[in-house]
Amino acid sequence: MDRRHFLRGALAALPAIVLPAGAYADETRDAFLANLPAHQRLAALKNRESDLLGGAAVIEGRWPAGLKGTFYRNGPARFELGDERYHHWFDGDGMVHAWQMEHGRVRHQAHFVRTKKFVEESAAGQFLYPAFGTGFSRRPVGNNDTVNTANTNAVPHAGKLYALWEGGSATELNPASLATEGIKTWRDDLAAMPFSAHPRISPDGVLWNFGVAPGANKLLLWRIDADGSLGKFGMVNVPQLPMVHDFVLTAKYMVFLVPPFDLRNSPDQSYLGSHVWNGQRPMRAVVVDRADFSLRRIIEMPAGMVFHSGNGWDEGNTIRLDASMAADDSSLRGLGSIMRGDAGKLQNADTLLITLDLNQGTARSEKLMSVTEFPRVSPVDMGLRNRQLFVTTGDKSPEFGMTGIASIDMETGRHDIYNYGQDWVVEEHIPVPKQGGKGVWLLGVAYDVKKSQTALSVFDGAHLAQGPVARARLPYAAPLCFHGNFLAA
Amino acid sequence: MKHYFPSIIFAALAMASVTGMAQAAELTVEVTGLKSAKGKVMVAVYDKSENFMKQPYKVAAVDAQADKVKLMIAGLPAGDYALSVFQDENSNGKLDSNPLGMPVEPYGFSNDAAGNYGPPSFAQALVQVPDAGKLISIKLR
Repeated sequence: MDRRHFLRGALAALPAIVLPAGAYADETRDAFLANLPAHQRLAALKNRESDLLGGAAVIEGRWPAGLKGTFYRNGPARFELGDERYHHWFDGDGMVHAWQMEHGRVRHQAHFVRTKKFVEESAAGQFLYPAFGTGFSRRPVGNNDTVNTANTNAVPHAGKLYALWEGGSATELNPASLATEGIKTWRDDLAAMPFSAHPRISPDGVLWNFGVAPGANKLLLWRIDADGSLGKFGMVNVPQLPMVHDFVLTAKYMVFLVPPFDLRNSPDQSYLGSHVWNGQRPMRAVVVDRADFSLRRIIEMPAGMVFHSGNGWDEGNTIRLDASMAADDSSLRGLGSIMRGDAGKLQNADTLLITLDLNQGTARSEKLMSVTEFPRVSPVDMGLRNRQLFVTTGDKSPEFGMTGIASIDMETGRHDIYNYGQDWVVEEHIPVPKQGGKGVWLLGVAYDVKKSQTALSVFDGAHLAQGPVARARLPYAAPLCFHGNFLAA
Repeated sequence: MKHYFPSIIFAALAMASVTGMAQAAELTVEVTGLKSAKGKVMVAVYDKSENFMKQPYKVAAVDAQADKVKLMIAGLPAGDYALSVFQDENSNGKLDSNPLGMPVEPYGFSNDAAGNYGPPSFAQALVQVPDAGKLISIKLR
């Protein structure tokens, strides 16, 4: 029996007035704890209170000698404070992880990003501000960076490291210590302008990004040059523009798949609550010329929900791109239910190859693989035609989290699959070019449910089905992450 | 997206006198949560809902200091008022906002009132000032 349940039992007979504030447990937290025994995979979403320092991994197999550097990852890790638990996975405060690989050894450390929100709420001992899916409003919000959790991606660029969220500024971290250096303002007049968590870095080292402030109907466009300075900023008007999570960079264009949400004033002031699915409206592919940030065309497609795309390329006036597409937004809501330990509402996404004809204004799509997420391509393929697309895979059960990985051959349609199995929660896996330039390693983290441990595995990108070449296993469970990137030493 | 402050009013503020006639109530405004001593703290007092965020009844300013500052607004007839405050860190006379209209300098309202994706209403920020005067506190965000 944990302390709080004991408290509740012992105090139940006393008059309510003697109960100290906060002695009653939170409903979401209670439900989560009650459901955990039946849904052990959700143990990956336990609250985390402190940084993880200096974890030396045990290596199984032989770590590739040429694979040296740091794999940065980011994900929400603080879900509870002052006995309250957030209502959505996306709400948690960001924790940035570094997996450092050197001399065949792997070490792990992870630090909370000391955002303004994290520092203020830590001092207060309770959540103060509205989050993505939970509407706390104990202190007024100044602007979007007041509620910036920096919890979605970790991107090294031009010698800097950024913890990214999608609704506000980038947060700069020290790449060696992971210490938080503060909000990044690219130019004074662009303070607090949203800088999404899914930038793309073209092979010339230029970082391309976008931002959306739902309600403003403006798509913000960023080019950060290879030296880390602001190259160009632009804004394009797009009517009825809701949250957009990711985009595709081709050699000529930036392509945004805009799901059909209507925006409403939310009673709880949460971001999610203001988004109402409208399947009667089309999904829109918004195509922007990357050279001058002008709007090239908006192409309508059947309604669908997309979080992630791996890559896209141009073929004359045609764009081809992949996307992980679900029928509607039920998974987005389901990723709230899991915080209560309810795993039964998750819906699968499929990987599609979408073809946009810019002259005709038409779109068509074909399925490449079912039950997939987290598409990634090798950084050398970014914006160019990619032969391989790497994804995580699952089975059709509604249980939380993915269970395998695959590469999809974009020309033959062949799948090369490795199944971790039901005892693993598989996170995003990313291709890293091998030293010498031929082929890729596929690098990814997974949570071992039975052992309650986190492990980093490396596969030969051409032979996933053969299983990992090596695995670096931590003696503890690290919080799940969303996205990350590798910085070669 | 609504804008938070009518910048033109503060641009005209310059160095308004913060002390006035002693015939009416005195409102003391403590502004907390300053993270720097840069620039000035600017206060606007509104006496009518229809003028809120448009036409202040009185304005005041004081040099910023770390942590908090205090201003005295004298000569207010007893009654209902709403206040808006900001720290003009770069001394350009207005609350700076980014191209989406989001404020990027610290600001606040009486009652620490909060709006939903915009400024609060006059009623949300309303304070009653009696003849004996009043002390209020506003936290910058």
